[in-house]
Amino acid sequence: MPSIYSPTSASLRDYLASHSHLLLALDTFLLSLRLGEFNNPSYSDTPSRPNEIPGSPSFRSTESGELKEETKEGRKVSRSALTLKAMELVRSIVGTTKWTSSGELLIILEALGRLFHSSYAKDPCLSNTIRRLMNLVRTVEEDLKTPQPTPGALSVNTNLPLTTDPGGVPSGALSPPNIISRSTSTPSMTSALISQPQNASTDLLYSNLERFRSDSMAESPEPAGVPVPDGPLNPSNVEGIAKKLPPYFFEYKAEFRQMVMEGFQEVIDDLEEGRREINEQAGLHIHSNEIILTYSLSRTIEIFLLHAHQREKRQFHVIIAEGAPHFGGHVMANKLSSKGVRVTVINDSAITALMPRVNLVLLPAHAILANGGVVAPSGSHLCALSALANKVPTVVVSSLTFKLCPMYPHEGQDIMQDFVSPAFLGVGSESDNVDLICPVHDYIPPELIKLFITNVGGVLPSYVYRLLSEVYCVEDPIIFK
Amino acid sequence: MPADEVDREDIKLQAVLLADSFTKTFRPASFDKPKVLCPLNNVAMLDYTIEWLASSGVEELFVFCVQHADQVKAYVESSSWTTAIKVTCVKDTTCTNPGDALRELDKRGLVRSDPFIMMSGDVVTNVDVREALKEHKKRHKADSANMMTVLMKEVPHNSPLRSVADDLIVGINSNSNQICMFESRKFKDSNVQIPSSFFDAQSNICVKSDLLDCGIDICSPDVLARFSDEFDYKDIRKQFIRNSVAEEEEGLQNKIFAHFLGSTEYAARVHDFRTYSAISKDLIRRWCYPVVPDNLPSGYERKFAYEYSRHFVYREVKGNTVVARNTQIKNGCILGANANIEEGGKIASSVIGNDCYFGKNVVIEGSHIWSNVKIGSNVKVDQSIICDGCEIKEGAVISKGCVIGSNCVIGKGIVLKPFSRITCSANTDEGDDGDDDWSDSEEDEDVQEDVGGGEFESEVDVVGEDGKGKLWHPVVTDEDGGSSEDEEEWGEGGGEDWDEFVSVESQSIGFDVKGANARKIKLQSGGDLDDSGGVSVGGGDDGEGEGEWGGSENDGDMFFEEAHVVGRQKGVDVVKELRDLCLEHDHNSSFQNLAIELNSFKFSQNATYEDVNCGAVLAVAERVKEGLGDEGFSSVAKVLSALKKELVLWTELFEKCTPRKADECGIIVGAERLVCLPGMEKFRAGGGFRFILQTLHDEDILSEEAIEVWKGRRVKGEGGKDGLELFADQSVKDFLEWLEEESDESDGSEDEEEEED
Repeated sequence: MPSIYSPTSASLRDYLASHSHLLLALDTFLLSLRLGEFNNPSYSDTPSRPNEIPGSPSFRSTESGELKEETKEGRKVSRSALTLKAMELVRSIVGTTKWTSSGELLIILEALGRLFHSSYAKDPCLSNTIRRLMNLVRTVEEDLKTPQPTPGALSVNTNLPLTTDPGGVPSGALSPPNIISRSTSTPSMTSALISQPQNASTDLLYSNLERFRSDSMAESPEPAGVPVPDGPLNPSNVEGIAKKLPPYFFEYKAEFRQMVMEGFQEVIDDLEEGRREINEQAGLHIHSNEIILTYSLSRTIEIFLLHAHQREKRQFHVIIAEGAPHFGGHVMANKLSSKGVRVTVINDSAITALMPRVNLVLLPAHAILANGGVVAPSGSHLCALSALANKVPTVVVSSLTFKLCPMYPHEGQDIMQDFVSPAFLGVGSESDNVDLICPVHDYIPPELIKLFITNVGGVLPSYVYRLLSEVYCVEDPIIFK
Repeated sequence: MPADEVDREDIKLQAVLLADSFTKTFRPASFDKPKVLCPLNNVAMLDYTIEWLASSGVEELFVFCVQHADQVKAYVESSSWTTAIKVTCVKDTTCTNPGDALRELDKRGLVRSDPFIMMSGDVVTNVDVREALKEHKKRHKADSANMMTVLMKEVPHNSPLRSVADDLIVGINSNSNQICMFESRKFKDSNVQIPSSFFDAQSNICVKSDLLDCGIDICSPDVLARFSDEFDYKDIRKQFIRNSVAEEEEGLQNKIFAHFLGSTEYAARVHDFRTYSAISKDLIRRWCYPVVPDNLPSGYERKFAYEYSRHFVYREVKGNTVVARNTQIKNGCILGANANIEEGGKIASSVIGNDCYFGKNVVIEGSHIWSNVKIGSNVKVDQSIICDGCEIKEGAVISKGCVIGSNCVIGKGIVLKPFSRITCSANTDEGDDGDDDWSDSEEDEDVQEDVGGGEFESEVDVVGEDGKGKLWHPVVTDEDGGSSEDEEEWGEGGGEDWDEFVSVESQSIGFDVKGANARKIKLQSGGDLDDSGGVSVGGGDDGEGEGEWGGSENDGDMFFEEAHVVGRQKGVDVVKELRDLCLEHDHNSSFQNLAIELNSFKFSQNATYEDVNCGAVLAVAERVKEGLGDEGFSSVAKVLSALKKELVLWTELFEKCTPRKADECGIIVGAERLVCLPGMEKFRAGGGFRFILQTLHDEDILSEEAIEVWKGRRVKGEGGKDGLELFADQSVKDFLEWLEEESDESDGSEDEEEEED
C-alpha cells in the first residue's frame, strides 16, 4: 500500500493503484466533469422536463421548440447533485483506502481538489467542498490533539515516531522537519510554541503525555476493526499544503478515521438539508400581493417560492425574465405555474420597464465571493442594477454549504467565467470579423445586494467574509492549482 | 458509476476507431507521423476522439491502425488517458481501405457489443451520443435489418467544414429518419435517383444537401458481417451506405438511419489541411464547447494548463511561456508551453505549439505552428502549417497554403510560392496519387517506403542554400486504369474545370471555398442541361427492373427517348446493340443460338424482351434494305413483300423472345422506329406502317392482345412524339377499327384456334 506524499494527480493515481474501482469511479467522474453530464454550460439548476399545462396563457412558448430543445439536453445536472456526487466519491476514496494520518488525508484531499480544478471544473462548488472537508480534518485533528479526559481513548502505535525535532531551526514548524524523528526525542519548547502558539501549553503537555504512554503502554492492543497501518507518512518529504502542517498531523490516531467519516456524513447531510433551512425563512421575506421578479432558472428559488405559496399560503405574482439564450426562465415558469403560482414571463430587455412595479428581486447565486459579491447567471447584473435604480431590494437566495468561496472577485471572476458554444445564440457567422461569445456568468458587486437568504439565516454582504473563517481554514489553498 | 450501471447492458459498450483515413490528403505531414497523431490545437487528434468515446460511456475501444501502426500503438500504450476506457490496438498493415479493416475486425471477432460505435480517428465532436444509442437499440430490437445509424449535422452547403469535393445529397424519410438515398454528386453526372418504389412505402421523403456526414456511426455487429459478405466493398460511405440504402428488395435491405445533431452539438472531420484549420478555428471560438482549448483531454492536465483570455487567446500557464511586451497576440490564438516570442511580433488567428522560438518582428497569421519550431526574425507566415522541428530562417516568407513537413529548414530570405508543400522525408513520391481523395493499391508499398530510409537531396532553388527539404508534388496520375470504382468516377468526372476541386490547393488553407463553390454550381448547372435535372426519379420500369431481373413480369413502358435505366451502362443504345447482334446472325445456324445471345445481352444491360423484339425488327428491315437497295426500298409494295418473307423466317426468334403477349409490343415499336427512320418518309406516307402491322398480324407474329396493349399505351399518350404521330395516322386507325370488327366476328373461332396453338 503506497502512501501519498504529494498532492499531484500522478501520486494520487499511484495511491489508488490497488483500488481499481475507485480509480475508475474517479476517472469517470473527471470525464463527466470535462465533457459529460456535469459540464453545465447554461444555467444554475436542473431543467427537468417541464410539465405541460394546458391553457396557461400567462406566459408564451410553452410548446415552443426552445423549451423542448433545452430539456432534451439531459447532460445538465444541478449543482447540488454534482456536489453530492463529488462528496460520495471523496467519501468512498477516503473511506476505503488506508491512509494513516490526517496529514496524509489532507494531501489526498488537496490532490483531489487539484484534479477537479484541472478537469475544467469551473464550478467553484467542488473546490469549496474539498476546502470544507480539509477544514473538517483539521478541526478533528485539533480536537483530538487536546488531551482527552479518558486516556484510553487515545491509542498510539508505539513503533511509530511520535515527535520530531526541528533541529533548532526557528521556522522549523513551517518548513518540513528535516531530521527523521526519533521516537524518544523530546520536542523543544520553541518548536511546540511555533507550531501551535495558541495551544502552547496543552501541546507540550500532550507531547509529554504521549511520551509517557508510549513508554508505559508499549503493548497497547490494536483496536478491532481498524486496519493496521503500515506506518505513517514521513513528513519530511511531503509536498503541497501538508508541508506547513505541524508534526502531529502525521501521527496515527485510531479513532480519527471514524470521527472524520462522521464529519463527512455531516457535510453531506448539510448539503441535503440546506434548502429546508432556507425555505423556513420564506414566510419572513415573501408577503401576499407582492410582485417578485426573478431571473432565469434556479431550483433554490423555485422551492423557496413554492414553500411561501404552499406552506405559508402567500398569494403573490412572479415575473420571470426568460434568461436568453438558454431560456431557463421558461422552464422555471412551467414549474411554478404548474403548482398554482401566478407567473408572467418577460424578455430580458423588459426588466427595466417592469421594475417600478416590482417589490422584490430574488436572484440565484452561482458562487458567493469573499467580499459579499455574487457570481450569478449572465444578465443578473442588469436585474440588480435596475432594482437599485428603482429602490427595489435585491435578495440573493443561496445555500452557503458549497457556494461560499474564499476568493475575491479580482482573483475569482475570470476563473469562474465560462464561455459556452456560441451556437446557443442561434446565429452562425459567415465572416471572420464577427466574434460570437456566449458568457454564462455575471458578477454582481456587494453594493447592489441587500441581503443573502442562506441556510444559516439572513446574512448581510458585509458579513460574508466573517462566515468564511468559520467554514474554511486560511491555510488551505484558495485556488487548487 | 453505480447509477450508470443500471442502464448498462451485460456487454460493455465497445467502439471501433479507424486510426487511418486511408487517404493521402494529409501529406506531407503524414509522412513521418500518422494523421491521427498530428496535433490539432496542441492536442493529438486521437485524444479528442478517445476522450469523447470515454465520456460517452464506451468501455472498450479497438483502435485499428494501418499506416504507422507502430507509432499509433506506442502512443496508445504509453498514454494513460483514463482508466474509464480500455484501449486495444488492432494492427494490420495489409489493409488498404476501411472495408478491409472491417472485414479484418469481423474475422477477429472482437466486437461483440450491440450496438457499437464506429468512428474515424480524425473526428472532433461534443455530441451526446446516448440518445442516438438508445434510439438505435430500440430500432434494432424492432427490426434486425435496422443495423446502422449515421450521425449527421446540418451545415450550410458552402461551409468550410466540408471537403470541397463533398457534394453529399441525402434522402431522408422525415417520419422515421431512415436514409433512402446517400449519393455524392459528381461533376457532370449530377443526377441522383430515388427508386419510385420508395415512395410507395414511405410517403414523406425529404432530399437534403445541407447535411454533413460526421464520420460517427452507431452499428450493430451485423454491419461487420455484411462487409465480410460483400467482399469487394471498400468504402463504408461511398459503397456500403450508398448501396444499402438504394436496395429496394424488402428482404435484402440493410436499413440505415440518420441521427441529427442538436443545434449546440458539433462534429466535424479533418479531411485535409483546409478543414483542419477550419475545425481548429471553431474549437478556438468555442463552437464545440466543452471541447475547447482550455479544457484539455485526460492526461494532458498533468503537463499543461491553458487559460482563456479575451479575444479567444489561450495561453499555456504551466510552462514558461515568454511573450515580449510589444508583441501583439489577437483574434483567436493558442500559445503552447515554453514558447518564446521576441519583440515586435504580430500573431493573429494562429496556433503555436510547445517549445517554439520566434525571433523579432515575426508576422504570423492564420497558421498552425507545431512543436519545436524555430522562426528567425522578420519572417512572415501566412495561412500555412509548419510541422514539428522545422526551422524558418531570417526574412523568409511562407505564403498562403503552404505545408512544411517535419524537420525541414527554409533558408534565409526564401519566398515560398503559395500552396507549396515541402518535405524532407526520403522516398515519398513514387507511386503516389496524392491528390486523390481515395487511394487504393499503393498504400502498402508506401508504408514500406516511409519506413525505409534513403538518400535525400534538398532542392536548393526552393529552400535555399542553407535549407533542407524539397518540393513535394502529388503525382497526378490519369485514373483511366484506376482500379477502384471511385477513382474511375473521379477520372471520368474530370475535365480541367473539375480538377480544381480535387487539387492540392483545394485541400490547403487559404483556398477560396466560396468562389470555388460558386464555380462548381455554375459548372454543374451549366454543364449539360439534359443531365442536370437535379433529382430524377426513375419511372416504374426502373423501379422494378433491379428487383426482378427475370423481367417476365415486367410491364415496363417503352420510350422513344433513352431513359436511364438502373443497372445499364451509360451511353449504350440497347436497341441498336441488339439490332447489330441480330444482323451478325448467320442464317445457317439456329435461332436458338441467337436467342441465347440476345438474352444474355438483355440481362447484362437490364433490358427487356421488348427491346429485343424491337432490335430484331430493325435488323430484319436492315436485311431487307440490303437486299432491295435504296431504290427498291422506297416502294411500299416491294418492301412489304420482302419484309413479309424475311419476317416469316424470323418467326421462330420472335416466339422465343415473347414469353408474354405484351412483349410483342416491341415488334410494333420496332416497326414504328423503322418507319420513322430518315429516308422512310415516302414509305410512311404510303401507309406503310399500317401494312406492316397488317402483315405481322396476318402472319400470326403479332397477336391481337399485343396490339391492344400497344394501343392502350398510345392512347395514354406514351411513346413520344413520333409514336403518337404515327398512331394518329388515319390508316393506322382504320386498321385498328378493322381489327376490332374482325375480332368481334371471329371471337369464338379464334379462341378455339388459340387453344389449339
